[in-house]
Amino acid sequence: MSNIRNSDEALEKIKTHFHFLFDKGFLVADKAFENQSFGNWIVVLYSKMLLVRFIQDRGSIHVVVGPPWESTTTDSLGHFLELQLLIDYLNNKQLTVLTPVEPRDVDDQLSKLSSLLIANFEKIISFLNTEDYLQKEDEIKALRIIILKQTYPYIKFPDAK
Amino acid sequence: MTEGCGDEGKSKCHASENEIIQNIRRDNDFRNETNRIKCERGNKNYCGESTAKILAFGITALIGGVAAETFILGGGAAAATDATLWGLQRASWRAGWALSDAAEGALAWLLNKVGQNSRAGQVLMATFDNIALHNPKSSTMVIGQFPNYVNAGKQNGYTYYQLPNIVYNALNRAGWSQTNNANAIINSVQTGRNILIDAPNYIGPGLQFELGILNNLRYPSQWLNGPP
Repeated sequence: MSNIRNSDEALEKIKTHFHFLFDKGFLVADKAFENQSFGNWIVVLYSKMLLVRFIQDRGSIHVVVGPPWESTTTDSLGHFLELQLLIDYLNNKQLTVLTPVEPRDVDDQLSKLSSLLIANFEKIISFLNTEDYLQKEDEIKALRIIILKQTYPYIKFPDAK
Repeated sequence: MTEGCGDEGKSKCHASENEIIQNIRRDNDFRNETNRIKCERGNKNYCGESTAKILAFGITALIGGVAAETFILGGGAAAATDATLWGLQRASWRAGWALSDAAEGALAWLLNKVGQNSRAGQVLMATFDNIALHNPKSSTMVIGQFPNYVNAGKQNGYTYYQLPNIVYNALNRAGWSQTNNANAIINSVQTGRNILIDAPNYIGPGLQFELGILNNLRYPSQWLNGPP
């Protein structure tokens, strides 16, 4: 298994597996690689349609998507949703809140995420650009919290008495 | 013990969070007792927190074996050993990743050689914890998704955990990383820190493992991100 060694390598991998985004005019907004933090990295792509953030966190790669008006910096905390969570919501499925433990090969992970994004791309763009996106985002996050409360009942939320 | 669990932890070896918690507690007791004895014998390095000196002991014990350990127990050489490790990290950055790969490979080989249950292995565990734990004197620890928890730790002075890439990759190669992260959580629990979880977007496998430990312990921990 090869490890990503810097943000340029991460970007090259993303260009390989998500070339369809670049074909559609997506550009690189920001990227970062953290030597001091497990070799985690972030790459942010943007377009007029949506923002896509790729994050490797302790070997696990996550894709989160957000509306085009969101911040494009790597440390943005804003209105992003994890790809699988959003797709589950859009397809009326049980929400995947916990990222499955998958093989940790970078190419395998990116390939799987790429297929997921391609298959749902138009639906996602439409959802992220609706006028009531913030309300729907709140709804998804509320559902996520319900599942987290069920999964980890002894970990409290700030609202819990 | 959970040797062979690999970087995906219990999924490979079927160890439960409870088993790992018990193992870590046993390891911690062993380490604390060992350090207490060393302190009583006059080695001030072990009478309080001294990251550089514990680090020096760990690395030197690993590389040099008994003779080096005896040397360190007698005091001294801490700064030199500390400088060696960080010099290696800096040299890796400067000289390119071929050296980094070699360094990771060498460290992984040594980790495998000593084994997680050996005395040197346990000292190394403590060493890595010391390297990884930032703001260790805070009464609150924050864990979660990257980079949120790191930012929260830096901005608020909370304890947070992050390992240099070179060490993390070596730990992964040797199959030690899962236990090491769990160790940091258990240490925080044992010291009574408040634990906050900052994970607004996703919960990866590593964090799931840590949350499983906290939930199983019923330790009073709290999400930072409340309902919208």
